[in-house]
Amino acid sequence: MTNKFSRYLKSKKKLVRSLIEELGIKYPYVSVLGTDVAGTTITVDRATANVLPSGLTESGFVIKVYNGKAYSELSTNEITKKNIPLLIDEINRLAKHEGSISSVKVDVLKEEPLAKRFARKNKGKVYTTEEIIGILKGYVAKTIAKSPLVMNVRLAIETTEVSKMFMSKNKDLEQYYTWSGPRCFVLVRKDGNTKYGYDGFGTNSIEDGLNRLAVKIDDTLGVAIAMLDSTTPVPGYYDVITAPSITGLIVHEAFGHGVEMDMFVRDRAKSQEYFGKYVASPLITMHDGAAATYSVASYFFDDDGVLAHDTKIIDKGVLVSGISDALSALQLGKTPTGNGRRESYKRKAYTRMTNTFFSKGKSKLSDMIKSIKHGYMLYQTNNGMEDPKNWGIQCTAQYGREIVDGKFSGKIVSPVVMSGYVIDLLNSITAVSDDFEIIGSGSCGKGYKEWVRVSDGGPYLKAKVKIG
Amino acid sequence: MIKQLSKALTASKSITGWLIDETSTHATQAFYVMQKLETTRLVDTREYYVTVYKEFTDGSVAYTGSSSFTLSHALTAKELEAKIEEAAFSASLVKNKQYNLVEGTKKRSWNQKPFPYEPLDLLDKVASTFFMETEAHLRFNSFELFHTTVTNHIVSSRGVDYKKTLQRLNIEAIPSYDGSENKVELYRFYNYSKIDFELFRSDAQAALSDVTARYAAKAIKDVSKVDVVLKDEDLHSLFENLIEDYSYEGVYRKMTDKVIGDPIQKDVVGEYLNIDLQPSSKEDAFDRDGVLLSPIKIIDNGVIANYYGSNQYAQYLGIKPSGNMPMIFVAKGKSKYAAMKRKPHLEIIALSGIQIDMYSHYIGGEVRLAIYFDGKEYHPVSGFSFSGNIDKCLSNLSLSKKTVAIKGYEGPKYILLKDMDIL
Repeated sequence: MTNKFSRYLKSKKKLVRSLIEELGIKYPYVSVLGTDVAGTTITVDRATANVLPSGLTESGFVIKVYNGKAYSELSTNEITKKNIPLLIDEINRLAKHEGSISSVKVDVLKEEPLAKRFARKNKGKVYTTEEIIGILKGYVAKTIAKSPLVMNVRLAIETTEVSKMFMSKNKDLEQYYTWSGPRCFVLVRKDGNTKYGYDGFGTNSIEDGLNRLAVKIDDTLGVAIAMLDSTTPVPGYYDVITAPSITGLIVHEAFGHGVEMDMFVRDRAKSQEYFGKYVASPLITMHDGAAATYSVASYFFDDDGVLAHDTKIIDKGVLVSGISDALSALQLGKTPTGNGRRESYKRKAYTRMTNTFFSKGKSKLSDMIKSIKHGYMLYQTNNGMEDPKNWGIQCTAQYGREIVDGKFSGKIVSPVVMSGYVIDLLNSITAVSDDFEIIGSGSCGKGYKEWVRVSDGGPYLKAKVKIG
Repeated sequence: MIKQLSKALTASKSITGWLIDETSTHATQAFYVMQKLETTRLVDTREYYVTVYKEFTDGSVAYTGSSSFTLSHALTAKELEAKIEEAAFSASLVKNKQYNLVEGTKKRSWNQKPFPYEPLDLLDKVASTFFMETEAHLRFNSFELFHTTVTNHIVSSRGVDYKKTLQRLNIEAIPSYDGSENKVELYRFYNYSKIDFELFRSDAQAALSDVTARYAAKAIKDVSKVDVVLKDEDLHSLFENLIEDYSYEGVYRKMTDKVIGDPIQKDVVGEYLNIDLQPSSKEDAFDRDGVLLSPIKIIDNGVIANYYGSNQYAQYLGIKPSGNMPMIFVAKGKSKYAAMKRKPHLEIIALSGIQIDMYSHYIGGEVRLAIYFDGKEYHPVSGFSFSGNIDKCLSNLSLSKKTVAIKGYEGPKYILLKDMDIL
């Protein structure tokens, strides 16, 4: 880990500036996003180890122009003095192509002059690969020794350092930040019955990540062993309490995707009919933003060169705002909220969530548990799927602990697939705890593609859901 | 750059082997909003994924360590040497049981024929074909086209020098229906390896017909158990889950206690499954390790016949590697579609996403659109979920004679799952 902004991107700034100036003669808008993301994923299990590049590793550029009608982009991983004429030819070819289908009516992106450098370094000790492998191997051996039921333990830590620059006629931005994602997976077997537990989290400190991982592995082993006695839940409607991971899944899948305002431009979001109206219990306040909290998606500016925001989306149950990328905001006549994100420099920017959460409330978790006659406490995100236009919901928790007469019965169910209608679910929330946790290890797709790293979470919620 | 890389890797005294995977991507993309062009994109990149290997012993145990790095732009000789040495050091820390790298035969290449149109013109024609089928209230609110050509060239220290060029056209389409009472949409993702405008037209018509049905769909009433017909993408997910643990890596990592010869279907009263893995096309001839690919049977009449997967883990199990193959091929069934639909049933058109947990024996999902046949009439239905026990489903499966070929799956177009719970 260098703890410094990319030397490579720095070395390209002069060339990029000259490219912008040359293209600027012909095009009313020109910008260049440069990315240089380095990282490593170290994985260790019972019998093997791997040292591989992080899945986020990339280095390249997006050149964007506006031809007076529509926007065109070229993704390349080389900008050199020699290939600039070639790049310009390619952009001109793309921008002048006239198809049989007319363009949307969209104006030129307007940008206030801004030049800034941002940096956030890894906190604490920077470990070598050798040290990390040694620590992870120790954890694996210790966990295997704890129970004869353990078949395998797989631990990983992904460390990334992100350098991005955004340059246009008016902007010159640089940012550097780091993040680490430790993960664990424990596989157990008893009499031919196989189950597993997993967990993951995010932190801006490798040292903190490795320390906390030790505790997470023990918890995960406990869950995996408990899962050996799990059953599938009987389909029905239940009172549930969602742990912060499942609160995060609900806020993200049930409502978050529906306020991504590129969906408004495409008339794909039911929420646009609900501004100023109640969409949730008055106990609910929701935020999203790279600046809303400190987690995996806490960048300083987005891939459109818009500074990070903290957007309040739901205020005491009332929908007050959406989130947007620059182009969607332009088409809607709104101010962009710093949510323009790309899966990589090879993909388009869309409106994407960043760190999304419900704010904490005033209830005590212990009182919430006591208030349940028969239901479940739900833990650990498995997956979820959005339906922004029709507000269907599907969120899967890895497991639930049964609550009977206000106490845990000891029975575990798995998997727990919640479904229903978003507004019914959000209005069924009758208690919000005074706890707060953000899970910074998530990945989110838009539809089934365009994966970006996100965090989500919040307090414990008490709600009524359909499980089946 | 392959020459510069292979020269530097060969010169390194710190490693005992290497493999370079050069990926060149040429893509043209078009994004339509409310059937008007919003953005066009070109992608022109060349990237390198380099793996270094280091064979060493510790005591009497032999190991093959490896480590990888990526390169997206040219480096100086000094910078490259430093990268290789750093990776070599990481490889020396990786104590994986010894295995042999894939040996190359002769320099070979495989190329899919390019699509017969200039990419930007092709995307415009495809979009026009889809939009031709629409009406003011029935259209594609979002439509994204991705024309991608990827060339993989792998070169190794063991004489592998293989190159393949594959083409594809992907479409993400959101068919939408604006009615007087409500607006609805569905999600569709298409993967085409050939250009067939008749197929585009029929896919557009089917998508628009499905979303029209979603507008008409009502809640399902008074049905607690029913047979469920699944099709297409959901079958791909189901069969992928069924065989996931039988990879060499899965077996080596003890993800399953089942072995070759064990049944995955028990007490069978329905049809038996036969599942193969195949390359996606004849040009998709090798995997990332340089293993030349040929089809392999994984499930033979409901019984595990072979494991599959990568070179390293095959050797750990003492098996000749099949290589990693992306295409699941399931033998067609004996059931006629009409016979599968004779009794009351629910045919799933769109799920939020099929949910399968093989360890908890669970299958289910939230239904966005299905057609319910009550024994007399067909009704579009929506907004409920189905679930059941996957082991029970496998013992009494009906597989259609009719087949489908989609991305990653070729096999029965429909399967029938008996007695699923509805909520």
